[in-house]
Amino acid sequence: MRFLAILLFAVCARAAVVEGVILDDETGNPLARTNVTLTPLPGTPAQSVTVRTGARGAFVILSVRTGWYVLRATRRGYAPAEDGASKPGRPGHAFEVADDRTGGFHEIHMAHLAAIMGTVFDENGIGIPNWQVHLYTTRKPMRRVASTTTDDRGEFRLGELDTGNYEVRSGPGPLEDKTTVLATYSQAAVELKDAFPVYVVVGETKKNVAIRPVKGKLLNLSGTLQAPGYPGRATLTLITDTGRREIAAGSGNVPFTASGIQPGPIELVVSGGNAIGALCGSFIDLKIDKDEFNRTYPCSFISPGGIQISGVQQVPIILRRVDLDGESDVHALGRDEMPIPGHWELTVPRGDYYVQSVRCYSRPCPQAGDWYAFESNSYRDVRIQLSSNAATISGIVKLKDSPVLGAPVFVNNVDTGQNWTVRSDPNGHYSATGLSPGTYTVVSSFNIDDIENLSGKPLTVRVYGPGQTVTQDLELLRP
Amino acid sequence: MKPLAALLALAVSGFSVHVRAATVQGVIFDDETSNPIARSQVTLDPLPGTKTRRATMLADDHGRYVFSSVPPGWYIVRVSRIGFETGEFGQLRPGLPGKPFEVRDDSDDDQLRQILMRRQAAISGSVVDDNNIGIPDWVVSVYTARPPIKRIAEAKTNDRGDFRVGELERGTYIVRAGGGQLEDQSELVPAYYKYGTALSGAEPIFVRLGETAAFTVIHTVAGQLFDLSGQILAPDNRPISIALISDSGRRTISAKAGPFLVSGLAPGTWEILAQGAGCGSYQTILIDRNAFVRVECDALSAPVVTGAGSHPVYARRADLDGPGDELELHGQALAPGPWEFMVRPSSDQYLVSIRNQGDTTPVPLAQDGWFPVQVGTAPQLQVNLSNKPASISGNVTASSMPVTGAPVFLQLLNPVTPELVLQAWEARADVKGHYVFNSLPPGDYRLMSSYELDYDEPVAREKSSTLRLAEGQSAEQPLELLQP
Repeated sequence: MRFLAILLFAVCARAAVVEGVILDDETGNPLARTNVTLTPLPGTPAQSVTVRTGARGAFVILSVRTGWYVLRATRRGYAPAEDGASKPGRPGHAFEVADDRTGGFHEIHMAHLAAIMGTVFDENGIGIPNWQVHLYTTRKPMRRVASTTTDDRGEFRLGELDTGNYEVRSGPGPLEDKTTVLATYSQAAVELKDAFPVYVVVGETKKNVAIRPVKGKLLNLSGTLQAPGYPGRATLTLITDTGRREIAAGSGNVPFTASGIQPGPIELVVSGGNAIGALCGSFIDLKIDKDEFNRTYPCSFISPGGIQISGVQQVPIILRRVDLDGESDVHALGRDEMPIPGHWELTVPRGDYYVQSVRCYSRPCPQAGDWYAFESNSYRDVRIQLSSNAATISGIVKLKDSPVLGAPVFVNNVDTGQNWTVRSDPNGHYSATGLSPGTYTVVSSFNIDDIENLSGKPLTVRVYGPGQTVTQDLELLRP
Repeated sequence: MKPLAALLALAVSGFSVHVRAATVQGVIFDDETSNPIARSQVTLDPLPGTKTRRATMLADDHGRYVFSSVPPGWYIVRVSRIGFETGEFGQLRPGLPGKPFEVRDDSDDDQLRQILMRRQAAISGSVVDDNNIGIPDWVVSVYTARPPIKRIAEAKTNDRGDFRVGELERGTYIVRAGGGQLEDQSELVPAYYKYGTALSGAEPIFVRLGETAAFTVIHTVAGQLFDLSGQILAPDNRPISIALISDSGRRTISAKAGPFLVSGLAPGTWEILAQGAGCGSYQTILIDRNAFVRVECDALSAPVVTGAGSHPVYARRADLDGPGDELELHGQALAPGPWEFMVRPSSDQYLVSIRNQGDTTPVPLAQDGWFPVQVGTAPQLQVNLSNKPASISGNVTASSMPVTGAPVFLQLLNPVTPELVLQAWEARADVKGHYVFNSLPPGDYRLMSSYELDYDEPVAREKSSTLRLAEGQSAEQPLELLQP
């Protein structure tokens, strides 16, 4: 018993406590119920630990093993914040937990995510109430990322935005006298090239963004949905870059009429099932610039399968649908799942392997970052080839010839747009693994939001073949 | 010469017809910015005694309206638009009655009658946690402060925990944050502005037209929420929806026969409304701990209505979360539960009551003419119309002179609590200052005429006339136009 007590004491004596408080950067008020994650640097033999702050924003992480760590706070509506960061949104500094039971007291300030506020005005400067407003990313591929409705004064607010450039756009629709207005970018642009993008940074609310909808003709589309016979049924959904609506549903031949359609690209998705539950569907994308009549949209049989993965065992395939009105939530491809016709994207989780190729109908699938686009029709042929023979870029991060521990290192594949972020260990050594052959830029800095204005530029590293290890030491860049 | 003379006479006659029809025109402006308001609905309303029909049009893009070919007589121009208080030409300020004007038969009237419209009221504020940090996506409800307290609007907080509820009438309101779970699964119970969970502790908010009552900060209150589990007994295993309704909102789940579980219910009274194809049920339950209910879905029959004659019967649900939309009964089945019914009788009748047949309990008081009725699965509604309506009429004068088109306000008082109003009417005196209210039920009434006083102002109440009407009584009540 005495031996057990001594052993327990010895173990406890080597485990420290990390504690602190999370505060709102704007008001200084404590942030209750915030997630705080203690992440060990490479070389520190410990697991990541996540706790929630208490009612007064305080957190305590017990039994922390000695080593070097980074503390990170996350909370809805706020930009993730790290202990020791020079500004909200930037990487923080690592700290050491010694075996003297004190891990220090850490105060992390969190900044609200960005927001855009404005008003949708009519021709006389009167706010239009209950009007749809959409927000798009300006970087390619341009996607709708949020939408809201104006209040009784015609004012809107779109919050929880990352730092970046956005396009703000009012939706199409009829006014009180049945005249119609087109979807209009801020300030009064029907065409994207005439729009005024809005730049916001974390912690900021950009106010007084004005949109003045432009009058114009909205279009009509009519025809027949060819659904399976009763008790089978199908629905026809009209998707534009300002939203979606179901325009027909039922069994057999279902006539439909949809009005108030913004001229431009539209998507039509048919999905349903026949009497015995077999899935059917179809997908049509077209550009509409005049009223369309007598269109026919069938619900065709969908064949199962068609997405294959090889090279590495038991790697899930992650899917998301990408329609004109934005991305769907992601999900893992189910065993018997048949993605209904339309535009989809897939990815695989990162690991000690890399994606050697993703081929759609025998051609490379278009890639943007970690995502590969493919079309799902009544059948699909997508083949993912993984390789466990991944490359590595590693080296030492230095500042004036001294190694920098815990330095954030940003690795970017310039061919694919994929990014990796790693930290150097207590000896300043970093290692980015799971890389494919290609051209990379590598940079280390604690001021990553100013990467364009760094005193030095990122280094370019070429990985020529699978499994290659490239050594590249880095100088920590400072503004 | 004769045909020519006849042609000339016809032309002159045509000309004289033309000049007898005048033009009424003007512009609608926003009171706050002075910007013109496009596409407002403008109504040209003839006073009693002016023999023409009401005309309606939309203002154009520049806020202009033109009524042409207006016959001679006395008129009021009224304008309405979503988000704005109804405006009338000649009103002292938005919210007060406008002044009538005469259209003469001598020529086109080139006077521009401009009307200023004022925004309706709004309440904005935040829902905050213990540390004054705003809570995003949290439901906020607005209730009328005057009994019967009704939930009339709902909003959700934005990313900063801020909310705004607009399009409110001038008046006093109570604001309340809903209950729910926070990120760490800790629970909040519904809380009123400023503090507390009890209605008695709520601080009412008074808002005027054009005003936004800002900084309404609701401090949330920690508490325990409960689970409601149950068993659904639906015929043929048909899909049904179950609405769980409280005075701070409703949640709907889709289900089939079998067990169900709903978590996170705030303590208090909840209504359970089950609806399926051709079936439904309703029950109330007091939640002060985890509870279990059996939910059945009984076959529904359309209401059988007697006594309404040829008058349509109107209905609206009266659930805890506020009145539903008005609908006209056309033989459709109604989901069980609390409803309100109304009939709009002709001028020689008044509506005495609407109730379930065979119900011998005292008839509840109708609010704004709506009679509350608890509807079952096979409702039989008895409408009681009387052919002996009361009426009030008289002349409105100012310094012994009749006031053409004077606005007259009439209120039926609650017999138990006279300071509360059961129903209100508004009419205009005719060209000779004579006003009439027909089709009135017996009761205690208050009435007044004024261009300058809000009816709810204490001075207006003090100066207004009161009288008691028996069934079938025709009362004569002269009114002096009230000045502040």
